[in-house]
Amino acid sequence: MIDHLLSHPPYLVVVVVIALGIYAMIANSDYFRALVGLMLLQSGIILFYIILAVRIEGTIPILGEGHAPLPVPHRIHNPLPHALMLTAIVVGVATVGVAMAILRRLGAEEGSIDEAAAQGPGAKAGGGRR
Amino acid sequence: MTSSNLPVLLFLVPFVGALACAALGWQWRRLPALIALTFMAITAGLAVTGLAIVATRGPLRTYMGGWQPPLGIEWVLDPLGSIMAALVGVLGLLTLAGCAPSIQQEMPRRQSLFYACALLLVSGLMGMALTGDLFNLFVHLELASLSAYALVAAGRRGAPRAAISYLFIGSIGASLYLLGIGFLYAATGTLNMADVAARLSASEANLQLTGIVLVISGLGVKMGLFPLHVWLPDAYTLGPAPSTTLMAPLATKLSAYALLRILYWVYQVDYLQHHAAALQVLCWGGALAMVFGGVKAAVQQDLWRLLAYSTVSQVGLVALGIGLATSQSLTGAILQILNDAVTKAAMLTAAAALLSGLGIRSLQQLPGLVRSHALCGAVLVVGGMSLLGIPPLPGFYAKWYILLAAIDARQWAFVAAILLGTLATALYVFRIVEMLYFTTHEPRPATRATGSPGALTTTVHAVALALALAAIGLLNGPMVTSLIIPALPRGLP
Repeated sequence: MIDHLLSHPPYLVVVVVIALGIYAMIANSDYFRALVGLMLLQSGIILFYIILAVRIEGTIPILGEGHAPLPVPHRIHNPLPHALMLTAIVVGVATVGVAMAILRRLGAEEGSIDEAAAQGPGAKAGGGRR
Repeated sequence: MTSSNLPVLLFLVPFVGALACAALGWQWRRLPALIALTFMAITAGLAVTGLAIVATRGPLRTYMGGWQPPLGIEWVLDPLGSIMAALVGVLGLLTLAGCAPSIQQEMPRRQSLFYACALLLVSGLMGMALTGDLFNLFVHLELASLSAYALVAAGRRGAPRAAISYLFIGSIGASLYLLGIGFLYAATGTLNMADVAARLSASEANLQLTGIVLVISGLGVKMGLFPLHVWLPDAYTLGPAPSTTLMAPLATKLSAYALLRILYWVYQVDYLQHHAAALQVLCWGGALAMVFGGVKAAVQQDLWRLLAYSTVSQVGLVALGIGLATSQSLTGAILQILNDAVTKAAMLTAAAALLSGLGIRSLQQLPGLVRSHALCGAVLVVGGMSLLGIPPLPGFYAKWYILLAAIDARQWAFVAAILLGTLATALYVFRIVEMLYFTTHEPRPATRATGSPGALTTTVHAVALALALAAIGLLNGPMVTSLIIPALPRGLP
């Protein structure tokens, strides 16, 4: 698996982006920065699917006038992952939207959207935490 | 195998209902509840009809846009899916109808949005139960999860914090799942479950293995499998009572169902037998969840947090049933999904009646309850008995099947975990019983007006759910032979 990764540099980018995203989510006590981490993680996965679709020396899958007849299938970039990722992007945007709405409420309620800050004075008003 | 629109209608009816609630609900105070419950009633009716049709005439299929699989997206109402759809429809209707007074009390001005989110959750869960496409499953998983985050965030102080942790952890779970099906897609070039299953054996082993690991971890987060359950107790305790009453019975169970579906219908038994480590992980997670969740539940003071940890423990039993991979253990796992869903719905509805009627959240406030709210107390006890596994309640049969499967497989560690988990369950159930019936108490200070008409509605629904639980237990034999055995995957030992 590692050999495969090293011989296909684009996948290495995916690994780095996903790792950065997860690191940002774990290392930041500021929820907003963690949210940026989540967005990175999602972007990494989108990149993964898009790289899956690429065929070396391939062409775009468009038929019709003014376009050359399509070559054999393994020379056409796979359009399906692109369509899937459009949906995944929509899901990701919706997630970020819900997260921001929740963060706004959190900020209004506790005066901060930092996990560490609110563990202090605000935490006791948080009620049943453990 | 018949083509029909029913599978998609089961998703579309609550979805349109959600839009109607959000668009029209603000006009009149009682309108959102009316719209939501009407659409939920139609959904529940369709789901039960679907269960009957599938049991007599075989699976129903819908091809989206008329495209035949594997090119198009396929929706299948098969025996197992129809059980889950009926569960979601009926429990969704009963819990929402039961909680209508609490919803009015807890969020009088946001009712239409609450009902919209609740119906979106139901439609997402229906989609998870019925889709035959791996990517479509991801979309519905996220539809259900996003509604769930919003439902949690609507709660009292501290709820947004619980909701944002739930969102972060849940989104990592969803991302892992998405990455997992990416590997499956890379291996087979298709996303239709049946088609992936047919092509999987000819594909590259590393891709299959990475896929299964990512899918199990992703769905493990969503189903609250130990040790990935950390989001669950806070979300279910701090969220509003109606949200928890709707979510706790269904959301984790449907994720467990999705895992069952992918393991046994996509990867299939042969593959799992050659890669037993994947199932071992599931078994150990389940076994530890039973013990840990049970012990944590036994030390809680808050009734809602107790029930949340109890969910962790009971989902552990489902995971153990899925992981043992025999027809006996899977029968137990499906029964346990039914059992925990109906039990939690009954107990949480009763708890919601206590909360909205008397303002009771804590176990310490339970003594003296039996006089004024005898029925709520009785529902809590019946539910507790089913969690514990007292015959003839369904919890007994579920546990019995899984226990026998563990003994047959000579997995003594898991036998011990089931028994220890049951012991811990006994601790928290008997604490509830003790507080209800055997603790002396001072006369209850009149915190809120007792016997409000709303609490009565909620109590009636809690009692109906408890009766349904008893009925499932008493009709267990015919139900297993006519519904669950046909729903089992093929090729099981």
